[in-house]
Amino acid sequence: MHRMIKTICIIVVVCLLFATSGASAAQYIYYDSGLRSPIVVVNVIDAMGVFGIAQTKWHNTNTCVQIVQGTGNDVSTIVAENLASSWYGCYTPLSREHLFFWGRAYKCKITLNTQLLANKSATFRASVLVHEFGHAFCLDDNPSSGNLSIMNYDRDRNYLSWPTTDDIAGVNYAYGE
Amino acid sequence: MKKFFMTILRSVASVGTVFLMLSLAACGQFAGEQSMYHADYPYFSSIDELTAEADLIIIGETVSANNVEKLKTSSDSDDALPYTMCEVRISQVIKGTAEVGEIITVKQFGDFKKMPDSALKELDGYIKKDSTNLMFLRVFDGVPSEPLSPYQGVVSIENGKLVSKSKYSLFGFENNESVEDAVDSIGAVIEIRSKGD
Ligand SMILES: [Zn+2]
Repeated sequence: MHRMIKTICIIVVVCLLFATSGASAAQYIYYDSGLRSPIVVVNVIDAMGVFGIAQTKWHNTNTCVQIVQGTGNDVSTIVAENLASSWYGCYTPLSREHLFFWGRAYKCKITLNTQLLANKSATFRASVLVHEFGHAFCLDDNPSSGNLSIMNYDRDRNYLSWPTTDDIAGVNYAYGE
Repeated sequence: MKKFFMTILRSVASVGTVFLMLSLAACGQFAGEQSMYHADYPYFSSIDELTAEADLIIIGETVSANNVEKLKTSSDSDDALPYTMCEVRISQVIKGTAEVGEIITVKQFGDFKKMPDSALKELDGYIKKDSTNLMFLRVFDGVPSEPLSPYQGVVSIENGKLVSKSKYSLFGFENNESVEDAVDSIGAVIEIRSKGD
């Protein structure tokens, strides 16, 4: 009987070790309302002049993501609006996979708030747009690893405008690289 | 016979444990997240920055909460976005133009129930009725004011002490300062800034 309890304990400990080692090795947080496909077709209505920068920053990563411009009802959009709101940018998942309510999204809308971003540098605005694309590529906010991440709320937006090693690992996890 | 029975029992227990672990992992994977807005809010590294950015800093009691409305907050488009609104009776004005006793409407992004903002949802940050809060607000023309950020713009007051669930909050996270101490430090920052002007 004692041997049985011992065996169960060992299995539980091994399972827990397995689970926690996965969590600590991954310094990103998987976000399940990102896009189904790592190739995002986006209608750039207004990206405050930083679409090309954000696109290049993501294309320069060792991931399978691609950001291409297109139009139509099935594509994602980027808009810039003068909003009486407290945020710089916002990611909204649209057309979810399962019963429209959950799962990855087929497309998304990224909104930039010109009221708060108009006086900011291009690097700052790019940091916001690259962050929103991070959500599109299944990264959640605040991985709290202590490492640099484009997904951190407290990042220096005048400096950090590229996906970091942890962010790249998160995207590769999401798209099975 | 007993040994055989124990082996069977042990195998069942092992398989059961592994199955339980895998099921828990699978639940987490497939349960899915409800649709939420993911907004990127300004970060403030000091009380000085937070105070400078706020148009209005108040302490107030929430007299009504969770009123969801779609507001047209953009001057460029007709799109309306959902906000969760509350009414706050001001008990102290630390910065900005407002009267003690005045009731103001404060908005927070997202529909707290159907389509919340992810940061507000995670922090349980939608302002609750009867709560008393220290608020750092951005004031808009013709649209209700809004906290500067879910992480740093609202700090609740419980038994005269500041309490925040946000690790980014400059008040009430690790130190549960008294309201008086917080008001003094904000006041000191305002005074230094006014001398500099
Ligand atoms: Zn975000």
